[in-house]
Formats: sequence, C-alpha cells, structure tokens
Amino acid sequence: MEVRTKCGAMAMLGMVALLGAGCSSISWSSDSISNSLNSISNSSSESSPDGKSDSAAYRSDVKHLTAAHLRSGGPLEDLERDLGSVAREHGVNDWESDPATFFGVGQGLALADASKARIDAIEAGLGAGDPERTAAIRRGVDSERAR
Amino acid sequence: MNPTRPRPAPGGRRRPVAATLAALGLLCGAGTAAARGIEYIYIDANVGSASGGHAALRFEDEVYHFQHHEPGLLRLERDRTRDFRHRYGVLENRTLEVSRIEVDDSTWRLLRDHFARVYRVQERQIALGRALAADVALLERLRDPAPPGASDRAEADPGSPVAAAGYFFPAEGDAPGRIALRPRSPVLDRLGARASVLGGADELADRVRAVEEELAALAPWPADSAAFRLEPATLPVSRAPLSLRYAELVSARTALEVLRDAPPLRGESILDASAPIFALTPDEVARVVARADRLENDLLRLVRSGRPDWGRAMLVGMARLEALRRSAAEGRLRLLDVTPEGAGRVTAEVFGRRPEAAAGIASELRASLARARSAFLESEGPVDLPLARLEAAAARSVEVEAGLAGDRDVRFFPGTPAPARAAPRPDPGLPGWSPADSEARGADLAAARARVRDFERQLESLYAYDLFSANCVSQIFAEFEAAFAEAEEPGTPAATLARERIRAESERRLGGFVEIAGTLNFIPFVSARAVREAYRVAETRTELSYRRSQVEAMLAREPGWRVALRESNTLTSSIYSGHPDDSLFLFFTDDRFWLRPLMGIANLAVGIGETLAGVAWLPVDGGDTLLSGLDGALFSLPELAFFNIRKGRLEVIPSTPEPDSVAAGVGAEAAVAAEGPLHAGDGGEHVGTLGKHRDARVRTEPREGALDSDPG
Repeated sequence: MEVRTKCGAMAMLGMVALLGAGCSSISWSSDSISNSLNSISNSSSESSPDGKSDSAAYRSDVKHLTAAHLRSGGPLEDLERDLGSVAREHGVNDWESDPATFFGVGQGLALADASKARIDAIEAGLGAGDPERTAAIRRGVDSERAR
Repeated sequence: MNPTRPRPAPGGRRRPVAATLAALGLLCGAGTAAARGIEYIYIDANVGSASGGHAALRFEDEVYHFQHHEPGLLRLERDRTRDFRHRYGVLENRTLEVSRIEVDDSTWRLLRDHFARVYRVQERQIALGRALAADVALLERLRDPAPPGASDRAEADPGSPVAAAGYFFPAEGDAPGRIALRPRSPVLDRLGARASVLGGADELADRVRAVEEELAALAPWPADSAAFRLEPATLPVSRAPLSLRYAELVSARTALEVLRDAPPLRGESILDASAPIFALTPDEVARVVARADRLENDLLRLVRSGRPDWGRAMLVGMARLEALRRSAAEGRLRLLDVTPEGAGRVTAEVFGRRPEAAAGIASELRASLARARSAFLESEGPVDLPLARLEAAAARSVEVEAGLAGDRDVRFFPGTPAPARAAPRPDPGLPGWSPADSEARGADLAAARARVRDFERQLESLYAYDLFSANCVSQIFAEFEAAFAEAEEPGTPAATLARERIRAESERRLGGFVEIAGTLNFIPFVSARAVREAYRVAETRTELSYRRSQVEAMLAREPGWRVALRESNTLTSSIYSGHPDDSLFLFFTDDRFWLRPLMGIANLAVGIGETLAGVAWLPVDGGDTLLSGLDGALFSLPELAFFNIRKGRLEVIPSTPEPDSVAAGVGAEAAVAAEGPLHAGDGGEHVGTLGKHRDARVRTEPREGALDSDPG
C-alpha cells in the first residue's frame, strides 16, 4: 500500500510537472454546448426553498465584513459602501431596510472584540437614531458574545 | 471482512470505554467542548487543467478553495456545498475524498472566521484594483475635448452608463424614447409627493443642489498621494477611488431626476408575463399590495439616507415599486428583467440541438420559479431578498421557455443578481479638474496609471501562484498557520512566530501538524493522506463521481457481470454519452486497478488513431482532431503505470435539491445508522445513504479512536 501511494505520488508529480497544471477547475471551451447548458442549469441553484439560509449567509458575510473593517480601521463611509456591495451579492438592494444587516454588524463588532466606544460610534453612525437598528446591532453583539 | 464493520484507522487504538465516556460527555455537555467537523476534501484528477487534482475545505454549507487564475494569481474562492458537489462530483465526474477533522467549537470558529475574512479581503482588494483601472478610463475619457465637428460633448459621447437607469431611460440598443411625450408614472408621482410632505418642499431640491456641488468639486487624487499598501487578510484603507464616487453621484443625480420627472418603466425592461404562473389570485394581489406598501415606506427613508451609494438602491427600488403596483393593477406578476448585461448566451440553434437536456433544464427552472413565487407572496419581512430570488428565477425561466420555443438566443447568469439594467446619462464631466491646464491633467492621468501598476505588482507579490510552493493545497495549510498565529498573538503574521508555537497550536487544535515545506504534501492526493495521518480525523468518506455512483446503483439491481461489461467502455455505457471537450478513449479505468494497464493500452491505441486521423484532417479542421488525439494519448500513458487521470466528463445533469441534512452538514454516519447499509462495497467499506434520499455516491469509513481524543 505504501509503495502504491509513493508510486502514485511520483506519477502524479510527473504529470503535474509535465502538464504544468494544478488547482484549477476544468477549462471548458466556450463554444461547447454542454458548457452552455450546464451553465444555465447550474446557475439556477438555490440554497434553500424558503430562503432562510440566504438570509443567514447574508448575515454571516456582514459579520465578517464588519469585523474586517474594525481590524483595518477604515472610515464608516467605507463600511457603508462595502455593506452595499455585500448586500447586492446576496440580492439585497437596500441594506438599510433589512434588520439582518444591523444584526450582522453587531455580530461583527463582537467578533472583532470592539470597545464600547467603537460600538457606540457604529451605532450612532449606522443606526442614524433609529431605535430598531440600534436594538438589532445590540442583539447581534449579544448573540455573538454568547456563542 | 464484514463490510459494515468499522475498520480501525491506521495506528488508531481501540479504547471503547473512553470513547463511550467521551460520547456521553458530549451528549450531556458536561464540561466538554462540543465537537464540530471541518472537512478536508481531496478532489481527484481529471483531464484538462485539473490533472493535478484539487483540494478544498468545507465548513458546513460553505466550501473554500484556492484557484489558479491567469496570469498567475492564486485566489480564494467560496462555493455553497451543494454547488461545489454538483460542479466537481457530477459535471466534472470526479470522486471526492472527504476527511472529517473533529475540532472543538472555538477552533471551528477560528478557522471559519479566518477563511471568511481572507475571502472578503481578497474580494475587496480585487474590487479596488478594478476601481483604480476605472479611474484611468474615466480620466482618459474626460481629458480630451470633444472632437472637431461635434457640437458638444453629448453628441460625441453618449454619457456615463448608470446602473439601473435602464428601467426608466433607453439602454444601449433600445429605440430612443421621447420622454416629453411619455405619460408620467402615477406611482412615482405619489412617491415624490409623499417624500415632499415628509421632508419639506425644499428637501429634494436641496439634495439635488448638494449632489451637483460635490460633482462640480470632484477631482482626481493629487499625483503625490500616498501609495496603497496591500496586506494579506487586511482590508485596504484609502479614500474612495474617483470613478467610484463619480458613479455614486451620477446615480444619485439620476435617481432624483426620476423622482422629479416620474418616467414610467420601459416596456423592454419588464419580463413577459404571459405564462400562467404569473397570474395572481385576488388574495395574492392583496399580498402584492402589502409588499409594495412596505417597499414604498422603505424608499421614503432611503431618499433621505446619508449613505454614499443610496442613488443606485433608490433607482432599483423605484423600478420595483412601479413593477409591483403594475402587478396589482393587472392581476399578473410584472417583474424586472434582471439578466445582467454580461450574461452568457446560447444561440437558438445550439439550444435546439439538445432538446432533452433543454427540456430538463426548463422543467427544473419552472419548479424553481414556483418555489420563489410562493416564498415571495408568503413573505412578511424585508422585501428585497424574496423579490430578488423571484426576479432571478423568473428571468431564467422566461429565457429558457423562449429558447424552447425556438424564438431567440438564451441568456444565462449565476446567482441572484441585483437589477442593474444600465442606461447612458449625460456626463457631468469633472469641472473641478484643472480645466485649463493640460499638463496638470496629463500628470494626474500618469499618476493614476502608476497607481494601477503599483497595485498589480503588490497583488502579484501577495498572491503569486507557484505549482510547488503556493498552490491550492499549500495555501490551505498556510492559512491554518496564519489563523493559529493570530490566535496565539493577535496581529502577528505566521512567518514571525516561532515555528514550534504554531506546530504546538496545530497539534492542540487539530491533533497534529502537516508540514508542506520539503515534502510532497503540496500534491493534492498526498495531502489528503497527510491530513488523515496527522489530524484528528473522525471519519473519511468517499463521494463517488457521478458515473461511478450510477454504476454502484446499477450493481444493486442487475447482475454484476452485465453492468461491468456495459459500463466499462464508452461505446456501450448508458451513463456516458461523450463530451465535446473529451478526446476519444475506449475504457474507463478509474474503477479498475489491475486491468488498468491493459485498458490503458487500448486507450493509447485509440488516442494514436485519433492523432493519425487528425493529421489527415489537418487541412479541414485546422488541427482540432490532431490536438484532441495527442491529448487522449497523453492521458492514456499514466494508465500503463496503474495511474488514472481521465474520468470522462458529463453533459447536462440538472442539479436537484439535496436533503436538509446534507446542506446543514450532518455527517453521513447518522443517516447510515438510521437507515442501515444499502450495499456492500469492497475492502470493508460500506455504502451509506443520505437522509431519505438513497445516494450511492457516499461511502463512509468511520475511524475509531476519534471520539476518545480530547478535542480541546
């Protein structure tokens, strides 16, 4: 078994070196009908019929984005722009209208171990005086800290 | 050997009492950290650029893997588990070997958060690079005065394309409309009136003035601006690139223009709603009205928002509001066409060549549309997400139905795109940019180009691909080390932390350490073995390629000799029907070890035959057959030495939804325990089932001794 594995490794190494290729997906020729039809088929995939996992994935991305921002120390305007980009990736046009955004921001604040002053500043900036947003941010902070 | 009996892991020790106690501890949660799984996935090789195999890391419903992108960058990609399996296991017909590494919750979260952050940072860095390149394009476009003969810039230049403006203004290729003759939209008139009531009559005018003033003052960064410094796992901090802010302001100006002039939606920007599925019952109409009311209130808040990118969101929101109000009025769902401008395209002729595959896809998309329709109409929370899913599902379905009818080409696109139908709008230019000084403008442009070059150099330096030292395998372990270094001393790069400390942290968290430098562990299938031997692997699972899983299923129904004879070769196989990108070959050798060299000789002969035929056909096909034959012969050579690469690729296989247990990452062993073994495999492996779906693709091989290890 050991010999077989070593032979396999050497053969694979030889093939990899010979072909100069690794770690890439198969490159499909652009005029291939199967490529085209598969693209249509595969592009229709859904994460879940009710969309709940879509929302969870959105929250998760917002969390990690917020944490990354806290670590880099960029201005609030950068965070707002990036929230817009992440939201569009997930099909959310107006991130301010979705409480999941603010919950995810709260989770990100906790994940980055943000100080109270930083949390207050984000709450004031993104919350814009809206008690529902502020409450969602705090719920997110508490939820992440409780994990 | 009893096929259902667990096989001891190499070097594993049987400690049943300890295992039982540990299991009880886990169940009761008494002082023991909950165990979770991270899956290391080895994807076996296939022809093409996948000849070296591939590796990935799965955290429940997300799979992270590094891909080689031209011109030599190694980038982290993320897929949903189901998409990943469909792409590699089904369409590419490759077998996945999955090692489930048992970790405690803190390690699971440490690594998952680390990969999520690296992914997000890389995406942002790439986006920044695109914006810097767009800065150059913008400055080049606005630097030169209107060409001679043009009365003004508008005549020479159609203007800036504004995302989502195409729902109200003619997009490129549309027949130009005369807005003055078009009726006003009562929906937008009502929205504008409510906005004026809420914010005061002057608020919208003030907003327009503020946007115009900022546009007038906008200028490129000074030539001596500080250079960017890209760092791994850290978001780049900079002022907003000029082109980005310019686009935001032009979008805001356009949104305010739409709110003021209230143009109706353009007919070509809405989907055809003649299919029965778009008809609404009276009860459904009431739900659509409720959704539209909520959206309208959201827009009244958005128009006063201080966020920089509010204009684009406002344009999309107004288009959706009008579409929903129209739906309620007509009793049929009228939805925006969200097909992106860069969507792929299949010609009607090509689409018609595979009627069965096309019909299968159409059926899949109809079901998807029905689910999205129900989810939207039953939703009560935020409007965006369910509406976006409905729009995307409807756009795909309408495209394919039209293709089936032979009407036109079929466009396709991935994911859930944001509505973005662009239309050119008058270019405000950059009045604040040294208007009379061409030398200064040239210096600014040169500086913008230098920033792009500097950015590209940094990117190549950070993410350079190297077959031996920076590939899809080595980078996974490098990120493990970076995460452990960060956990040991926050802010410390792995390279500066003592090697022993990282090794110790890896041993504590994963049960061992995998060394890449100076070993063959950078090869995907060798790395899978290293993971099994070094880490705390609780289970290994083989997810068979699509062809092999189908063969397994047939073996349960038919005599083995008949299946073996029929499915061993490409001529009589009922599963494989040829693939346009595959060269000719005769035998499948991936599931035959001892016969592999003999079969390889036959495959080599076929490859040589195709090569010779290619020589004869050279004047006709320009060398396509010749290259295909050489390719086939090349991939037959390893088979002579008992090594398989080629599996054969598959045509369209619709991706069917998987049971929740799989999507949620529940281990296959639970399902096996619930339903029992389906089929006895060789070598003591057993074929399991997944949830209520019998899936012959999965073979599990639990490892004893995993539970009795201390996960902390």
